[in-house]
Amino acid sequence: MIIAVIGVIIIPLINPPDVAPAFPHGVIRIATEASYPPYSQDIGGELVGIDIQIGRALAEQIGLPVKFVPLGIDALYDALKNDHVDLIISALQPEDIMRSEVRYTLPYFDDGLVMVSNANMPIDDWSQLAGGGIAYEFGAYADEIIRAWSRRVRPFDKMPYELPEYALDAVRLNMARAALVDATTLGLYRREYPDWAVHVVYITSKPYTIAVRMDREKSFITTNDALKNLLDNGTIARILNDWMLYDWD
Amino acid sequence: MMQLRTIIRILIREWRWIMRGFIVIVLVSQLAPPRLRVMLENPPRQVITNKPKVCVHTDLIHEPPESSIQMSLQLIREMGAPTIVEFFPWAYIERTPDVYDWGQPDLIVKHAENQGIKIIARMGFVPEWARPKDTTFNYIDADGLPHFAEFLADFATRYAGRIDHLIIWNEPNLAFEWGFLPTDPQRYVDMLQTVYEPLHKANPNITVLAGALAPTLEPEGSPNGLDDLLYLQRLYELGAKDYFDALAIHTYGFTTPPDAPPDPRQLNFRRAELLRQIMVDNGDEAKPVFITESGWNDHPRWSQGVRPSQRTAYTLSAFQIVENWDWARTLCLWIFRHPTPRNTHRDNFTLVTPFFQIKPIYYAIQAYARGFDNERILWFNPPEG
Repeated sequence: MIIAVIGVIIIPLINPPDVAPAFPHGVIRIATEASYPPYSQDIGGELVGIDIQIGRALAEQIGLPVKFVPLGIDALYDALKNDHVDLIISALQPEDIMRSEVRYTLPYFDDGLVMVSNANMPIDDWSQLAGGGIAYEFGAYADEIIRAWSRRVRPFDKMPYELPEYALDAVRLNMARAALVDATTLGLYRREYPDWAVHVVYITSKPYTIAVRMDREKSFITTNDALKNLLDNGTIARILNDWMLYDWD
Repeated sequence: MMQLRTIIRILIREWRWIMRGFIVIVLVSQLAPPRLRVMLENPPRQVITNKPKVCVHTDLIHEPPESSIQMSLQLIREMGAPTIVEFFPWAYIERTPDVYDWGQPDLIVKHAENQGIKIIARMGFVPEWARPKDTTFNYIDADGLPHFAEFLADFATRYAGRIDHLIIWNEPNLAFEWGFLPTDPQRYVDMLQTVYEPLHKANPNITVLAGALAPTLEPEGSPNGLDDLLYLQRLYELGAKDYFDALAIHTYGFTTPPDAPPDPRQLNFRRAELLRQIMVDNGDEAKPVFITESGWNDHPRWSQGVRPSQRTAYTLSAFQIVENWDWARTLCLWIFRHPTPRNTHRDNFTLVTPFFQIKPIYYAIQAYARGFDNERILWFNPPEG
């Protein structure tokens, strides 16, 4: 008993626990580029959007106040490295060249390209398009992907439109077999047409994550755990559905 | 000791298998694709264009393989752009004092010459040894300036006759671009004054480009920066006129078309005219302007972007407008290509993807530079139902 008590007293003195708080400034300072609707935007001096709501929900989960720091895209990582902010939440996709300096949490949304077809005529891959048409926005990333695929699979009709919404119209109105658009465009469009039954397949992946400084391990673990809780308890899905109609995986 | 003997015994006993394994490894390694051998084109190529003001900003300094440098420059030549702007970061070239690594700059210069393309060099990015600890690459103070001047003079000497246009620093009217120091035009005037004479001594034919100001409406006292119009006027008031030979201008269209009228309270393409007017008002109209960054972005989410179809149309109109600006020598689009995806809206300024997939806007500019009719219909009519 005496040995155990001494052990409890002595061992922490030999190897003291890391008592530094996860967020040493007592506030979670979040950098965001407030020009990415519906993720982050400045409306009349007020920051709103999915990323802003996620930042607030994270802070609430962690139990600290939150402060948003709007910055240009070029300044986000420098602000993190120079301790001007603790996190970046800004529709941020991990960058390989930054991985030696920052850690990225698990993703909270995949904004990759999705192939959208009518639920009663589902298209799961490119081979099913042979002889049919795929609609997309002229000059967009979908255009690049389709031009690359058109060289590899059996011929299909390419249907460029001036806007991605027109591409989705073409599918909804049965003028094209499928459309290739980014997931956010689909989510926003479906708010206008909630009864349209669609079949959705991800063709590319574009995960949005949160960046934390490499040397702030505690901040990272705390943030990642809090984000996981928000994903598990449905908070993130609710936030996404405040801005778009998101009902696919 | 016993273990060592055992290992030696095994090696002796199994030497045939060890040799066979070695041969297999050598054979398999030969299956790897060979590194691309880069040959200079002979005779050297020339840019054939009807629109000599067409120019692009490149990012060749970050291209690891030489073949990518060559391929980028070939595409630029074929597009009809006789000029590029390229960044030559001091921190990459002089990592330790007086020890220079000219490897990558030499490659860029060699291949640009081979394709008949002229380079405007953008200079900046401070090595660690020339700035205080825990500062960013954009930080420079009075102690660092003489070192910067010395480096620039060495650069100008080395490439005299091959690179005769140097942009001094980038967007000095932003705090971020000066290591988060408060924006101070005097600091930039000091820089120009420090570097101007050594540069002309190093290369008497050099054109020192100042400015390259960020288009911004930041008011006086803002921690982020200062309005480019106010900043330029301040440069003249502080006597900068004697320390540069031409003005570099950054002008972006953001969400407006290129013919949107200039307005000091708006950021748009024709803001360049307001900057030019400040030059004229300060008796500096004899100096030319080089638009070294410009363009539109077509990211689907960025609120400062437009649709790809608009980007193409706006870019072509902007070139047409600049044709009539006799004071402007170039219109350089930001940016031709990034070597790797940036995974942000920055990817949506490019004309060619990191995988060398050519975007439709490239073909539109190429047709314009060749003087072809651009009135083709590129997309379907909106579906109706």
